[in-house]
Amino acid sequence: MGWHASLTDTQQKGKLGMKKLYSFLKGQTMQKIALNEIASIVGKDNLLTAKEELMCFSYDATNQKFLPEAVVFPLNSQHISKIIHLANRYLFPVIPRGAGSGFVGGSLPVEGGLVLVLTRMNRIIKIEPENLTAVVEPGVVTEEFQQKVESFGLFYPPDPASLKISTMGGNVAVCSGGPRCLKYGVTKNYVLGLEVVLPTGEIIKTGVQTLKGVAGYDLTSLFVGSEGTLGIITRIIVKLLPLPEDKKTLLAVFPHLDDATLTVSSIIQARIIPATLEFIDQASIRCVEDHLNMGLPTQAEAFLLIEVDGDTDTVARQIELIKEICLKNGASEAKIAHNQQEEEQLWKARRSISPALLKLNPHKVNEDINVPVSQIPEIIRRINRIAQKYRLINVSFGHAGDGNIHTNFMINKDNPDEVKRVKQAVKETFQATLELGGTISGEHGIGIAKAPYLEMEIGKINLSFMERLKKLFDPNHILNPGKLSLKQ
Amino acid sequence: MNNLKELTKNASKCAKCGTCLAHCPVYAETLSEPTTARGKLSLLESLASGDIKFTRKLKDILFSCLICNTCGENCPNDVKVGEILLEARRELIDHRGLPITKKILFRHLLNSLHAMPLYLRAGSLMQGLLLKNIPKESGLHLRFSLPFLNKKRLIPALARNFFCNSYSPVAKASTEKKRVGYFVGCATNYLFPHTAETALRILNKHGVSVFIPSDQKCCGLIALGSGDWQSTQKLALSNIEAFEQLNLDTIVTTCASCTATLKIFYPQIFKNADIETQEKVKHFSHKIMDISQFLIQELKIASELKKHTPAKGNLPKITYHDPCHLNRTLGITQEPREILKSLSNFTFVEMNDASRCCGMGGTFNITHYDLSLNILKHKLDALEESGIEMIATGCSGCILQFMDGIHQRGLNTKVIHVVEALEIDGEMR
Repeated sequence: MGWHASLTDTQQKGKLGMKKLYSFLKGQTMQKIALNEIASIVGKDNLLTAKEELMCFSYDATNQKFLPEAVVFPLNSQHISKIIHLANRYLFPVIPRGAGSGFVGGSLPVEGGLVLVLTRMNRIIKIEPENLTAVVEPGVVTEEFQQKVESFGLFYPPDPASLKISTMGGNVAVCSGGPRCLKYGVTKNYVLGLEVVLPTGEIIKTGVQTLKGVAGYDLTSLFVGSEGTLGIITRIIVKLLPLPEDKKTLLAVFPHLDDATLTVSSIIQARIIPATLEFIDQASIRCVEDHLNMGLPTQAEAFLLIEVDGDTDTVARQIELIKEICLKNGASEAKIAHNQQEEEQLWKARRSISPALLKLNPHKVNEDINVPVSQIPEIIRRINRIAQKYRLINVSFGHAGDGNIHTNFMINKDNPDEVKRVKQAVKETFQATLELGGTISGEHGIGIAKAPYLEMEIGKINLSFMERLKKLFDPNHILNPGKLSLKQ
Repeated sequence: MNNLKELTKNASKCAKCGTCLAHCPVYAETLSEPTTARGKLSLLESLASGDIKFTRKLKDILFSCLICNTCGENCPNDVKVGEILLEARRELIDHRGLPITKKILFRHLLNSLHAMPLYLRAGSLMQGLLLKNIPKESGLHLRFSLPFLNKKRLIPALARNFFCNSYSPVAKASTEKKRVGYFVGCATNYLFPHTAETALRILNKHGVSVFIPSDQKCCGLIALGSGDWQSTQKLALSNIEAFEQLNLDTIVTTCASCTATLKIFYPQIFKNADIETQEKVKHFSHKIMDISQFLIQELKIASELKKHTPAKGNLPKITYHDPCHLNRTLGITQEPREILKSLSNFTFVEMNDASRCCGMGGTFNITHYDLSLNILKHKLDALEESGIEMIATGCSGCILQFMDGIHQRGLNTKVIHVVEALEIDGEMR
């Protein structure tokens, strides 16, 4: 269904060359001709067409499946440009894909077509410590890049939870963030420039290699977070920081939820911006404790996991100050890790949540809503009410410092009634989030999973403007169609 | 069909989060989803829903895996990928049948007590025709190309005398304190009898009499990995019989793959058998002990070794490679290290990423030779960077793989079994 062109379309366009005519006479289908041409661009080893192989690119971390018609691994931007030209000639969809670790279906071929996998474009082209910049290809794995720059004493802070597998290209496409957002920001704060293959096949460079630059429209910002609908990112210039000398971690236990959020603002008022400030709710604590018996206080309504980084003296002073603030604000306990082992121990509860949750129920519906920090207690209360109303198990945890809460409804997808109830619960959660001045997605993106709710947040005019923008970039609507609720 | 249902039920626990991508040594080379656990598990789901059949392509994908289970070990949803894939391969063979070469090997040769040694004996005498010696190496090269075997591959020479023939039925200790059985395993018996001999000498020296029943056979892992559970079950039953008539409490092994098969996989492949058989298998499996575990736990060899004062000066560096079957399947990581750390004439150093799979994966190394060596490359880089003189491990498969890779790269590192390191250390005193 994805190949919405027929051979006559092409004939009308007068693009039928001798080679294609020959293939046509031999009885080859349109799809085969296009595939042969793709194979001649990237080589046979970089094109997959067997159904069994295609199925392995039909999913992402949403666990939904849409079968592509072919999968290609381009090795450079020239390959991609040529493929995009073909796509415009034969009118088939092209869906860029990194590691397929997204939570909103952004890389799924919902209308069939060609999945373009960027994992084999994975070179770190250069790291320039003297300029505090680096240039990478989109297939570089985030953590590998971080480790590489750290070996130069440098720091690339954006830290999505999937950083062990996620690619830099994917991070840019959805503007990934993570726990370090509070102090260091998210991906968009580090992208200086891009090389992009446009949906019409031209290769453009945006932005600069310098820390400043205002020549022309800021197209870089437009591509960051465009979820593969406006162009295919083939090269990324990022800004780096010096690697902080030291870090210290603290875990505080709060009998009352409000005290925990009050602590967050007290810390910031004391002019300390922690590197991470993670929040764990009572349901999460109980869930981890039930399954791991770590001796966690299950009466507590919230945990805060706080990390500060910087030079050794400052870090030592700040962590002690934070401990004081926690205790003054009603924490029953505040533990500082004194070595890596203790640090691991403190993080263990946080890291154990995801696996432990699945023991409550086999599937989780994970939403990454974001509210102003002061509204965290209110949104948690509202979500708890929604969960009660729809008889669902809900667990919330996440990045308290920036108000990005991961709220999880634990369900069994084999129970159709529960699936129906969770849909309603999610919608009401989004409504509550928007009422409190928040956004429906802090870091996962919209893709297909949140597409039905996008208009709720941004409004009709904004959405239709996005559609006009999309049409300008991609007149044939070949690039990642069916996402962000953009209509053709 | 019930099997398939059960299989997909387990496979569908995978949430497709992709954590396996970070841990799969095969994906690290191919960067393509069909080689990942979530890809394969997704295909198993499609198999049950009828979207795909047991095709050749599916077979290729299911066999493009080392079954190292690094993915399973790191899976946030605790999906037992290794187990599921072994079962998937069995289903595949049930539907597609076994290739004729494997049929002959698993169902005839491995099962016969006499055929295998006889053919290999002939092979040992004739190997000079097909293969030539490599100077200063204990390995051979093909004289000319053959299908399935790459010409650059180092092939270890078949031993002149096979271990079981020479030492069965028992090697008694002069003053007997303990009695154990010894499951030798094919690679050790036919290729590395010196490893077995070393183990024997160490055990005897410590007052342990070693019983080596002559009617023990292949552990059957090669058949199991190929989906032929039937052959493995047959081999299992005859191995159990061979040892159980000796009435011993402990059976030691020197090959991680055999250990894992006897101790973990045997009970798994009989999980649908009658209770009596299940009990019999469990009783046997319970006795299996890796040699390093036996030396440390039963013979307390570490404290004995520590009595010797470490030699002075610049000692040669020795490291340890974790075989997947010892580390991930059996959870044995400390005992071999404890032995190596107690040596007085070597300095123990951890190699980078010691538990990363070497890429052997049994027949994977034959069906995907280049890929297998690319996976090994990371281990060789680690060896080369740290200038390690000796690498000890506990699995004949890993030893074969390292021998080949080290030879092809021209490194001076020597590959040995942990027990050999122990003996070499003793000789240097």
